This record gives sequence, structure tokens and C-alpha cells, in this order.
Amino acid sequence: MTPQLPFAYLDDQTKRMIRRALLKAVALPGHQVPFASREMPLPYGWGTGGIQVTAAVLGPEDVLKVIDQGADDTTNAVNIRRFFALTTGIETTTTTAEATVIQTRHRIPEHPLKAGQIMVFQVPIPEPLRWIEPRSEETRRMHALRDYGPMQVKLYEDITQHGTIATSYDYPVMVNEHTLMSPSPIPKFDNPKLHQSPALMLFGAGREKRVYAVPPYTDVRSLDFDDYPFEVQRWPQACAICGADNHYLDEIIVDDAGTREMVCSDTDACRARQDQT
Amino acid sequence: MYVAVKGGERAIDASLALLDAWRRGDPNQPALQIEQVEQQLGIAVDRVMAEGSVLDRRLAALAIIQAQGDLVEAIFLLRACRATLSRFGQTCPLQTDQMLALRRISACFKDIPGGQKLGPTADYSLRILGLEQANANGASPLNAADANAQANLPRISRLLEAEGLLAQPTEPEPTTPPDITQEPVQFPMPRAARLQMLSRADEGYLLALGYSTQRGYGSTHPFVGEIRMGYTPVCVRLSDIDPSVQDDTPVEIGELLLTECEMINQFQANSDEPPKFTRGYGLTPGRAERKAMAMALVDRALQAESLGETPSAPSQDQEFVLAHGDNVEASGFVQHLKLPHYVDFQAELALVRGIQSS
Amino acid sequence: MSQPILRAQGLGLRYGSLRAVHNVNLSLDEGECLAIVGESGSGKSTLLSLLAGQQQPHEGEVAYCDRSGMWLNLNTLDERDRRRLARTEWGFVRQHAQATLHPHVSAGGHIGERLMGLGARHYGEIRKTAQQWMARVEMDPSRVDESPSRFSGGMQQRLQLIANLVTSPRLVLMDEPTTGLDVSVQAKLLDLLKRLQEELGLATIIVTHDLGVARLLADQVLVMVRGEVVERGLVDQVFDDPQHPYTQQLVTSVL
Repeated sequence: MTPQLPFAYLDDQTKRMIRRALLKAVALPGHQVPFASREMPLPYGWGTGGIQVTAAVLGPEDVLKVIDQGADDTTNAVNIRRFFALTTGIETTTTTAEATVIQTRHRIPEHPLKAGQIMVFQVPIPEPLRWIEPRSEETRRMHALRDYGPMQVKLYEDITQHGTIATSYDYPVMVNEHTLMSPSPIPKFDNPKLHQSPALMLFGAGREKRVYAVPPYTDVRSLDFDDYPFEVQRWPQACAICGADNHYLDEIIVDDAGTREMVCSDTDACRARQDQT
Repeated sequence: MYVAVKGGERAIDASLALLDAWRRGDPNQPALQIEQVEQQLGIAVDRVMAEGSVLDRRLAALAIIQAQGDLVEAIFLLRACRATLSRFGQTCPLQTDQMLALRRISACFKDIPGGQKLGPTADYSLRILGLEQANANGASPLNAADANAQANLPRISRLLEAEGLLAQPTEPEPTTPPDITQEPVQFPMPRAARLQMLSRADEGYLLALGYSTQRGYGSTHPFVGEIRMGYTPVCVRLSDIDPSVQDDTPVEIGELLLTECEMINQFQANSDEPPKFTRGYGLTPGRAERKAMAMALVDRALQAESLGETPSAPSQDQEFVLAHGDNVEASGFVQHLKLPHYVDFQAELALVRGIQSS
Repeated sequence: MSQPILRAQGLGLRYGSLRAVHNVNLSLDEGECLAIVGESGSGKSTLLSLLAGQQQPHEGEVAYCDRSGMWLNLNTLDERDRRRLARTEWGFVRQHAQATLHPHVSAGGHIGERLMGLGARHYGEIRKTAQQWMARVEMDPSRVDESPSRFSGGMQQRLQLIANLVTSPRLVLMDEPTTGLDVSVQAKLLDLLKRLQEELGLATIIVTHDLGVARLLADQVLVMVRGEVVERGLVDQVFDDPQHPYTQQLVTSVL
């Protein structure tokens, strides 16, 4: 029996509820807005928050790109793209520049985003203070009182123990110099792309039932110390396929001897650069 | 030279075909029918309905078949199905007092008005694999008349209340109960929301937590005040379904087979009042009695703070208990670790290598 | 030294039918030290938590005069303001330092926490400030990166103390700060407290069951029994010439 499904799986009431939550989120940059998350046909932890946000904002004219770890053809990205193809019939693409909505897990595309594009991030743990304080009652209070000292202390301890800030992904940021936010587990390499971006950034955490947002042209600053400033990752190599030296690179083990090659994580950016040269 | 891997879609298709083959198993065996599962694996169906939060036996049976017997997966299927259903109203509060009980026992008293009615229970069966427990005489087990079902049995807890021995709930009851599926409820939660979460929580999880309260982790010294299982009428007001209808008389639209458990626990007296019993409550569809009992134990444990007790055990920690009880969430997040994480892993590699070299 | 900094009037708190604190009045001046003395169950710790605004009284009120000279009613103060004051103008030292010290945060991290909460963002300077404070209380500054779990009880108390003092508070509340430590360690810590009180012009309230501590550090003393103040006055006068039978008993039982 093939079930009759509404556009993008969710009924209108639900979509409206999510949009109301998203509007609140956009009005309060970085602030986590609770929403009544629904079960989706993909498991919690596999992007249901991002899927619900995308489902709420998609229209029949939208063009959707879905990436996981920067690639369009990792199994999770394929699965989510199939889900939306099945439930909306809209056009999908792998080219960043052509997409109007981009759902992502753990990366921001290398190609600069433009005004009118929406990034939807899949978020496992929306609370940046979670590892400092497990109780949501207390973290809510900390955000309300802007009690972010403990986060700075954590970074202080990193430097004391390791000589450097020991966070390489899901690196905490201050949004609008007001709210502490988790940018989702993107590598810190991608953090600067959040700052003053022309695109709208939406974040969905289905299992934890929160959405949050960074409106276009908002200040987003990665936490650091004046004498230990925020730095992005750098590789001595360039991409073995396209030669890019400013893209995030994945390490691939190519033989039993453990030989490694570095290639672009963003498959579309890699292809585009190849096409140019 | 490394060539970027493609073919994720083909791999997924092949994987799904394999899954179908394993689900069907030996084609020489007859395929499972929904009716068979619904009838003969009825307690599995009860569990899937309870935790899937959809009280439809056929859909639950279908989910169990589609999930190849993986009940947590079946629960997930049912929940996802629920997300597509539109809500058109709610029932009047269920009056379990009016339950046509097939089973009704109390551990607090030797005999009770209406008697200790055992009903269809495995409690007295000998757990010998393959042993037939009784002569099946062909009568339908769900025929209420044959089962000596009785309605309107007096409630044990009410007898204790009449003597002033049972404490009243300390938290005020809301006029409109919250609905955890419609609005996000935050901690600390009112009891109505907690009970909703407990009713759909994983049975094994609640069992372990309830068990811990019996072993000293937040002891509440429980007794089974009453367990009753039977058919409870379900009523709606037509004016709730269709606002243009004026008539608000409750109309019976059917009945649900439910199991209800009231645990009686001892209270620590404060200097203002004499000691009284307190209670925990559990309710499940069908015959999932273990779940109803575990739910009642955990419900009582979570009342610790409102009863002036100092929470000291995991079962008494509201946020800990309720945030981790939903097996759809838990299974999703635990299993999501299988998803590629190589970008973040790469970031960690760079960090660790960097620290080691400096 | 003569400006009042804290006032309490008619303070009361009940637990059910038990009166933990009843009808307590007090007034504290800048730079003055008040000891609250009594046995366990007398309500002295509860009184301290009321004075710190950590609990709401059922009766009466507590008022604090802030750095700008404004009197604030602690009962009606916004949580945001209370936290700000707790971090900038007040200090609170507990008997067991472990309750406030995290094993995974270094001495420097503990001392710098208040500064970082107020926006301090230079790692080197925060660490140096921490070392300076450590030296001031005779702790080895080279241990600034160590976990407090490696410190002795007396050192942990000093760490707790300077973590509070780093923002130059005007009022410090202490609950049995030296109890449980070895006698010689206690003596050293008390000397230190006395010295810092004078150097920094701190107003302090110390809860203690030890009359020796009260005598050494305090100007004024309140004697509490079952939630009520039974005697008050200058510390030497009260202990040299106790009027209330309980105080007399307390004084004579000290060898």
C-alpha cells in the first residue's frame, strides 16, 4: 500500500508550527527556540531536525542540494535527497550556486553563498554548554543571564593542558555579541563562513527539539583569547584531484601500506575547480 | 591515483533489496499475515502501540512484520506514521472505574470486593519451554462473558482515601493538560507531562529504573494497590470534533483494552501532617502489565521533590529519567554514530598531530 | 569604616513548622567583621544564606549598599543583578572547598573564572593575575596550572578564598572556613584572613562554632540558639562578660 503523503511529508499545521518557531529564531539570532519535533521516516540523530526545517521552508519552485561531510553522494545525503524527491517532486542539484536551499551535515560549501540562499544545518546537540552543564534547566538560566564564563574557562584549561584550544569542530561562537551558539559539528575551518554571510542560516535539532538561526549579515565570532586567537586548519598539501589549497581536505587511505592522499571534502567545489583547469 | 567514490544510490538500492530478502526469509515458508501477528503476538502488538503512541492493532502488527520483529524499529515505524496523521480532537478523560475488567488483583489485601480475579496471566504458568499450560477448550479468550468480566469494581485506593490514609497529589492539576506531542515541554515538567512521557518510554528502561528503586536507589517501599485489565469505554464530545455542533454530550465511540496499575508507597511524614501513603500510577494499552507496573514505580520516584524528599537516586532525577526514555530518540542517536564522521575526525587528527608535534 | 554596608530586619525562615531563623536583626559596616556563633542546628548557616540572597526569607528583609552607594533590597533584586553582585562585590567561602573546586579546572582557571565571566580575554594576563594572588596568600605560583585535587586542604581553602577576592569584593561571607583543617593549618589560615581583611578593607561575616575564631577575626558577634539571636555585642565584651545562660555555657565549655 503506497501511502498518500502531504507535500514534504508534514501536514500543514506542523509546517506552520515549525515556521513560527523559525521566525522566532531569526528574530533572536543564536537563541535556541523549542519546537514540537515530529518523528520523520529517518531516525532521530540522522538529520530529522534539518529535514523538518527544510520541509517547512521548501516550496515547489525551490532547488534543493543535500550534502553530508561536504559530499552529495554519501549515503546519508543520498537518502535525504531521495526522501525529498519522493515527497515533493522538486528539482534537486549538486551545484551549490544553483541551489536555493542547501541541507548540510557537518560542512559549509566552499563556494560563497549568496543572498536568497538558505542553509539548513543538521544539529545533534544544540546546546553549546552541554559538556559543561548537562542539565537544560541550568543552561537555560545561563543563557538568560549570559553567564558564559564557564565556557571561557574551558578554553583557558585547553590552553593550560594542551597549549592550544582543543576544539576542532562544533567550535562555540558568539552571535551578535550576545548569544553563545553551537554552529553544529562543522570543522572550525568553516566558522568564518558564518560571519556576515548573505545567506540565511537555519539550524534544526530534531531529537533535542530546538531550532535556531543566524540571519543574513550577522556578526559571528569564534571564542578565543587575545593572545591565543582563533585559527583555522591548514594542510601542507593541496587536493590531489583538483589542486585546491584553500579547501577543507579529507584524508583517504589508498593502499594496505597506509599511503594517504588528501582530497577536497566538498565534491562539488572539487569538480568545479577541475572543470576550470 | 585516487578516484572519488560514486554510487551511493546503487549501494543503497542493493542494500534495501537484501533487506527485503532477509525480511521474507525462506520463500517456502508461508508469509506472515497481519492477522496472525495481531492475534498470536498480541503482547508485542500492545508494546508497539504503547511506545509508538498509536492505538491501532493492525498498523502495529504490520510494523512488527516490516521491522522483522525488531520492536524498537516497529515502534519507530508507527511513530513516523503518526506524524502524517492529522489530529481532529481528543476524547473525554477515560473512566477506568467503568472498566469491564477481565483481570483485577490487589497485593495489599487478601480479599477485596469483587474478588481477586486472575484473568489471562502468565504469572502462574510454569516456564517450561514447549509445555502446554492448560487445555484449550476452543472458547475465544477475548469473549468478555466467558471470562467473567465485571464492570464498576470499587477502587482500592478510594477505600484508603476514605480512611484518610492516602495523600492527595501535591501538584495542582491543570484544567487543560499539556500535550507533549503538540508543544515542547521543558524541564521541570508537570506530572501530566511526565506521565505522558513515561507512557511512551521504553519498557526495558523503565523496568531497570523501577527495579533500582526496589534495590535502594531512591527506595519507596511499594505495594501493588491494584492492577486491573479490561475494556474501558472511550467517549468524545461531538462539539470537540466539530465546533459548529452545539451538543457537548459525551458519546461512546468504542472501547480500549487497557492495563492500569496503582502502586501504594510509604510517605515520610513531616511535622505538620501524620504519615500517609502515596501513590504511583501506570497505564498502558493491552496487556503490557510489566510496563504499567514499572511506570508506576518511576512515576512515584519522580514525585520525590514535590513530596519534600531530597532526590538522591537516578530514578528521582526528572531530567535524567525523562530525557533518555524515548527509544526512538535513543536508538536514532546511538545508531547515528554509524554515519560518516570523517570530516570531524579529520579535524581531530589534525589537532592531535599538532599538539603532539609541539 | 563607619558606613553601613548590610542590614537585616526581622529575618525569618521556616521549614514546615520548624523555624530555622526567627526575628533576626543585624547591621554591618564597611570593613567590619561579624561572627555568627552557635552550635549545629542553631540556624547560623541558614542565616548566612539569607544574607547572601541565596534563599528568600519568609519574613523580614536584607538590604545591601552597593559600590555606588545605592541600597538594594535582596528580596526583590532581579536574579541577573544578584548574580552580578555575587561575582563582583561579594564573596562566599564554604567549609568544604571541594564543593566549589572542579578537579578538571586548574588553580589558574578557578582564580580567573570571575574575570573571564566579566570579559577578561588575555590568557597570559589572567594566568599572571592568578599567580600574583597565589603569592599573596603564600601559595607557590608555579602550581598555577595544577588541579586543586593535588592541593592540601589548607591550600584548597586559600584557592577558594582568592578565587573570590580577585574581583575586589567589599563583602565576604564565610561558612566555617577553617573547620576540619589541622590546627596549625587553621592558625595560618586565620592569620591570613585577618591580614587580608585589613589590607583589603573587607566587610566579613563568619559563621563558626569556634569561639577562638570569632575572637581572633571579629569585631561584633551574634550568638544564636534555635534560630534566634540570644546575645550580641562587641566580641570581647560578649565573651568576657556573657549575659545569656547559653553564652555563659558556651564560654565556660571552651578550655
